[in-house]
Amino acid sequence: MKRTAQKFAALALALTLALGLLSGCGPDAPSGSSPAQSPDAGGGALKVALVLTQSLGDSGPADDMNNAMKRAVEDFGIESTTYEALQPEQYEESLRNFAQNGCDMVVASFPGMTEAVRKVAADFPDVKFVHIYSAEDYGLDNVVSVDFACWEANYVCGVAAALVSESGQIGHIIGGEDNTIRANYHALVEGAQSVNSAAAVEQINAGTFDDPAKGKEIALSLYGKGVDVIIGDAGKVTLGIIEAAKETGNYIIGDASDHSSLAPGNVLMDTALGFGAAVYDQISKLVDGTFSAGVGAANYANGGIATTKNTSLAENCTDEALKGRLDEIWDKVAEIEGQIADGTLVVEKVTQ
Amino acid sequence: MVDLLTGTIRTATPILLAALGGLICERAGIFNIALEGLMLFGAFFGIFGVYLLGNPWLGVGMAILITTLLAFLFAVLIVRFHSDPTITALGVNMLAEGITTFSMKFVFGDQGSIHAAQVVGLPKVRIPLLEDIPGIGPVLSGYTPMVYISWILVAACAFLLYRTSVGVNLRMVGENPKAAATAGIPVTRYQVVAITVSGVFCALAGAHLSMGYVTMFTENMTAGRGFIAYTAVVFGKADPLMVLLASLIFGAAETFSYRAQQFGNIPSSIVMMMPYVITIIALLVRRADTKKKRRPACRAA
Repeated sequence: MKRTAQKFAALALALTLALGLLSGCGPDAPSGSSPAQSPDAGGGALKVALVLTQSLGDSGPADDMNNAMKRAVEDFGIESTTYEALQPEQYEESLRNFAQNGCDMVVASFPGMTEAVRKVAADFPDVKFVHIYSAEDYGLDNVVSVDFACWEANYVCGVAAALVSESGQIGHIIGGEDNTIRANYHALVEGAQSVNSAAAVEQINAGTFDDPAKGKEIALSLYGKGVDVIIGDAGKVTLGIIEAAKETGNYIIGDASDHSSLAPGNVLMDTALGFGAAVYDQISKLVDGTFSAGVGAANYANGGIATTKNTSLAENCTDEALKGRLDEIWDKVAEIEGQIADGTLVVEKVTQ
Repeated sequence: MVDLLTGTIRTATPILLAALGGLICERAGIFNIALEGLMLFGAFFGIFGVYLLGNPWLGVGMAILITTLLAFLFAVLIVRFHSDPTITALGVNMLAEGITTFSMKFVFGDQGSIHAAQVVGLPKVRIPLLEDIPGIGPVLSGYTPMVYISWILVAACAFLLYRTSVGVNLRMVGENPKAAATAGIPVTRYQVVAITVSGVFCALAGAHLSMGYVTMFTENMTAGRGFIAYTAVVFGKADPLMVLLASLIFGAAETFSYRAQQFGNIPSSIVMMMPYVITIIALLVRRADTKKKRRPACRAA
């Protein structure tokens, strides 16, 4: 009797564990239309797979790339799959799986996948690989890296923040430390001090990109001590900063996607990395046969980097003084962006 | 200073609520590290309830209902069917992450984080008399109701454990189940109820996180707080007041670690170690303390 009960418990447990894995089901084997098609098979739809190392739902890069896949499905009639490989040990496995299962293009994302891309791309010379947000030159004919010059946008954010801030104290909340984020910080400080030499930027590391409650707590502490503009560079943590800005009536500049609808009176602008645009661009190159390997830069000059301004800020912000200055601020921001785009202003990537 | 204290209380509350649930299980002799998963359930179904029903309190109700169901399932598995509590708890944690993420994507599309306009958070409560006390007024007032509920629950747990026959029976079940059974106490029933009640506490913790602390749900948003809560139970020796103290220490350590980054040139990685260093020191101090006055009940078994 007891043994039966134990068996039942074991079974129930196994089922529970299996269910737990449901949310991240593995790469689908090509359904229906096998055998696998290659680009020149003709007739069949091209297959593109997107492998994300950050989870969807960030209203940021992951969602942006996923939406680009959907646009590409509509515009080019490709077949698409999006897969979240959230654990490093899944990177190589998932890329290999998609390459084996007849995908024509596999899009990898974020710098962490470098080693996986290098190994898998060498094994599948007929499959095109795109590595979004990577500065790596693989030297293979079937791989292109797309590198974003985020610091250029952060320079602009620094300018805007210093123009908006009345206290001259600016906050910078990051999710972790890496070369890009360090470069962003330096550009931010440079930008802020270019318009207000007394501006001070305080950086706080949340140590996570996924905990909005932490973001809110940190933001409240910064706003509480006189900071009035915070720049978030921290994934979902930014969502918490936005709530804090809303509660305390301060301002926020977000990262990587347009957050203005979340707090129309508090979000000044967001950096816009063309994650989606880069994915879409590479798929369109695959479709019309102009794919080229190497490292492609995404910067102000070619539109891969930009900022999205909160156009409804003037209606929603409660600070009359800021309202009066807004036009002037946007003009200045546009001027700086123009200078970066045409090369008269060069923002260095400083990673120290 | 006021800022630091309010931050501490805000940060400590979700940990405290979940820890109270863990405490009751610990007293009933159940090793419950499913707090994390139960909390995540509470966080998701709280928001989902608000989204469906339009009222934050109904959201809390839904969080309690569904989280308690999961806790009951967990209880039946380990108490009735004697599955290993640690492994089963890991299963519950993974199940919670899977189900909440899956349901969120199913209901809200693959946006994956919920901050819809329909989602209203719990209101902030200002207590008229407390608020006016000079100095500490702002520290005591202006939180979401869940913060006050957590304080009341600390007192309620202490009363239940030390002042009622149910509490005595519960402790007996935890300390010596065989003796309890001999005395005619329904051991299994006490344990199942204890785990189910911990579901209610975790639901409140989760709902506080998603509807009080912030007003949104994101994938795996509990971010390890359930495990910290369990540490608070161990550190607090499953005593309500000590668990409250432990939660506040963890809350203070975390809040302080954000502030410390604002002073001078201390590298953030060192500052971020602080909550963990403080935990280790606290556990060591606690250990030295218990060596001196050992409770007789420990030897009973």
